[in-house]
Amino acid sequence: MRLAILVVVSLTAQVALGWPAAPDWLSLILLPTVFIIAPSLLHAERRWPHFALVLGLVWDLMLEPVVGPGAIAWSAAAVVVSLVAPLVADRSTRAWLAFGALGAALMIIIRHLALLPLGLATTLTWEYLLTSVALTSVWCGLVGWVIALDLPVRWRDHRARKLR
Amino acid sequence: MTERRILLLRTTLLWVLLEFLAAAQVTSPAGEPVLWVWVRAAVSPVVWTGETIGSTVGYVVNGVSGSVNLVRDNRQLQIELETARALGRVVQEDMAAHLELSSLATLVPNLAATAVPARTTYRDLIRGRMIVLVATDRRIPSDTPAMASGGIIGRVIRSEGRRCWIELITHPVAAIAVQTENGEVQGLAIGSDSGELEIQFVSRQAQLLRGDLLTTSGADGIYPPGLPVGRVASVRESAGAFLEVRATPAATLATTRVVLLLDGWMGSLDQEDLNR
Repeated sequence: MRLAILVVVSLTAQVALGWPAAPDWLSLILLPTVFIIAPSLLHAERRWPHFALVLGLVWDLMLEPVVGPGAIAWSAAAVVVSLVAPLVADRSTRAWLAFGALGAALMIIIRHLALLPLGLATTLTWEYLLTSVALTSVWCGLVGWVIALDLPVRWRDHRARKLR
Repeated sequence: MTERRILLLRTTLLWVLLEFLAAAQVTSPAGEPVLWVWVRAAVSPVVWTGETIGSTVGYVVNGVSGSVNLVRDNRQLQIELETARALGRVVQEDMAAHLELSSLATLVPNLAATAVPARTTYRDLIRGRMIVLVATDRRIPSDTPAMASGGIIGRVIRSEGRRCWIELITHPVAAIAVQTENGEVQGLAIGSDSGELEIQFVSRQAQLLRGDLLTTSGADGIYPPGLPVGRVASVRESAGAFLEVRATPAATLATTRVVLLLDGWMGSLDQEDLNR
């Protein structure tokens, strides 16, 4: 339930990033990418590729002209990350950065490929791809860094010290 | 590993379904759903292949049936050609027979009026037999002389309907009274197994040369006088009282097509002939 709320919040934020008054580069950050790399890096249960599919469908409903390509792209990115993640032992912020970049790149490319036969694909430029990958990577790295800080544990330790 | 493979297969299937779902929502520039365009693009090669195979099969069937018709027509034409050739041979045969008949008519002008023409239908030179088919329903009596373009060939020994059996002069039991053209030498021509004639009772003083023509003398009462019988082939002296004379038939028995049956020849002879 908490995850669903998080997804809805992130997608709402994604819509907000594309607000006309906001800077252009903000809309290039793919916020839901953290949901497809986090399970692999945090050793979650294996049903999450299906969760990525649901995530993609919600993405399509909110952001895409048709339902389907987003689900394909997000689930494909999730599957690839799940296959690559066990090969890497590192779970530091750098891993979050790298997998964030990988997930974003996969999502953009596969979404473009899925839209191509439908006649809805726009021109995919290197500039757009690299910018989006870089920003999403930073976003994932940020999330990974925050998770690595383990704030609840630090907060509990801080409270415990103050109570003494 | 197996779980991963199953996962990949399932997700791949899901991706395909989702792509089709998306295609069903998108409209092409032509105004029809993209999914319908895909389906048509997928089905059209199959339809084209089916139509091509169907038309090819149709062409093959037409070709085979055309070939069968051609073979049948060719066979029919061959039959007609063979029939025409046979008719041509019959016409040629008839023409040749007609020519023989004309020459026969000139050979025996006195007898032509009462003679009955007949067509040879069967010949057996070894057994000395010939079967002829007469042109009329008139019954031909036995002992009627038969004549071909060269001369006498024999006599009728049996008649049934239009068919007449002729005993050829070469038959071993056939006999015919002959003489030379000037009538000085007379004899009796007997048939033989060799196909030649033996001229018997020719006196040793007879002036007979090889190549001399022998004609009927009429002494036997069967054959009219003056008709060619054969030509002398050999003359030898023997120990007996007569010469050994052999002759070849004047008529070509092997190629005779038409014969004249001299029925009633006795009545057609004038008094001068009878006296002679």
